Amino acid sequence: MAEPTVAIVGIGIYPFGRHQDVSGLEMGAEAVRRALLDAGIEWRDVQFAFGGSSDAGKADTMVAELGPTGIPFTNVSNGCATGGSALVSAYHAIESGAYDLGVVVGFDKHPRGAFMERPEDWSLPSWYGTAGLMVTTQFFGIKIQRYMHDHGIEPLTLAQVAEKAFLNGELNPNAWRRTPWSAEQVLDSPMVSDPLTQYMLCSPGEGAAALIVCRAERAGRLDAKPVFLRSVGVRTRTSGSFEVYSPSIGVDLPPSPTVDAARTAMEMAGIGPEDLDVVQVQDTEAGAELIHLAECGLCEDGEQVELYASGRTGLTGRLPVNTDGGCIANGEPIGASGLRQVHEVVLQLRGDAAERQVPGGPRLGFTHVYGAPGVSACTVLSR
Amino acid sequence: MPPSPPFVGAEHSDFVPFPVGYVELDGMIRVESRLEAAEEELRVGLRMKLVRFELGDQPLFAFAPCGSEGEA
Repeated sequence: MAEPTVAIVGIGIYPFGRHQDVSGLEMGAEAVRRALLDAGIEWRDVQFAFGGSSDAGKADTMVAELGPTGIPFTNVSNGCATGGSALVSAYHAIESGAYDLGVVVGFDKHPRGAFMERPEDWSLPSWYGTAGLMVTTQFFGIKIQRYMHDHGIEPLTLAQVAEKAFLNGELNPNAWRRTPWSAEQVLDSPMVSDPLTQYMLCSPGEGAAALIVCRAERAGRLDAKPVFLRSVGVRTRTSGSFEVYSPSIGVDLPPSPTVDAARTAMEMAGIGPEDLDVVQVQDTEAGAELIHLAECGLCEDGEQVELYASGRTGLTGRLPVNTDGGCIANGEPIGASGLRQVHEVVLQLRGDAAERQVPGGPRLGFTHVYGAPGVSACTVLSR
Repeated sequence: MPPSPPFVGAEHSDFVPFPVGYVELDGMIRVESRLEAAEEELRVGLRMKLVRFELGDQPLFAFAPCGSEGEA
């Protein structure tokens, strides 16, 4: 691997879940304060910021809480990839030589239940909504139904994904869902969109995460053990791809943007999937985790059955996946979700993940987010 | 579980789950649609035909199995 240019020298998280009297912006500002404290610096040391939320306000207005120091603070709005896109922007801001130290923050606060979308906001006719077609879980169900058909996967594997998520969530004090559920209980929970039952799906929630990024050669002067951001890859969909709210799709589907984003990130870092010690992938629902592992090159299509049956994706397995419980145990505050993944990998690489620490001193980590309407952001991190 | 609005059937307490899928128009395109079929008869590759139905006042289309006779 080449010499790293960008380091993550501070991390902060506002616990994921429900916080009745706290606004999304307040959670975001608190996550930034915790990250500053972790790095041993102050807000006035920060030269730039990128941040965003989907439903909880404009990130740059949090300077009212943090202090109006006059720095450039850019709002990022990129759906489920908001956090990833903010981090990519910060990476390039440092790599270009323009800045030495900045903040990346993502936060959100969604009401209970499914997202209520308006067809008009997605360039779709109103009948698409009234007919009951504008429902994310149906899309997820259809996508994994076909994938399972093509690759010989049974619902038990989906249930094992959720079982693992809740086991990891139980060990994570910042997670929302901390009660273990067995694969059998997951299968027996109410059916939402066949084959996905209630506990295989994550819920929109609340929370925030922040990172302090700095030029790698300066990282040694700060308090925190640095973790290096080796690469970032972002891609959007190509024609005919299978995305949420698609009234029609192609017959020969192009590769998902995940495939290109993951490959780009790994090539930039000069590593392969087999080198990774800890991995976070988008698990909006259990099926997404299975598909994304294959799309990121971490397993073959269909190999997931054996991976999950043998526990190899657990904390002590060869390929620990979503070690903080993922979206399934943390919920999905859209703007914060991608940065939560990076927060977790940094903890794991520092060796600070306490009860859920992956053994053996993991050296290389990977994160992957994916969201509507077809955008993926991946990172490679190292000690 | 009933879908959220804007689906017009969401507020009905007598919600009945309905099937949804993508139907391939032979080799050209796959179209998302409600399906008029029993859950147990649905499988990948089943031949389907276009049918009309109404949801409240809204005329809509769906696909239903061809039975033994048909073309998609």
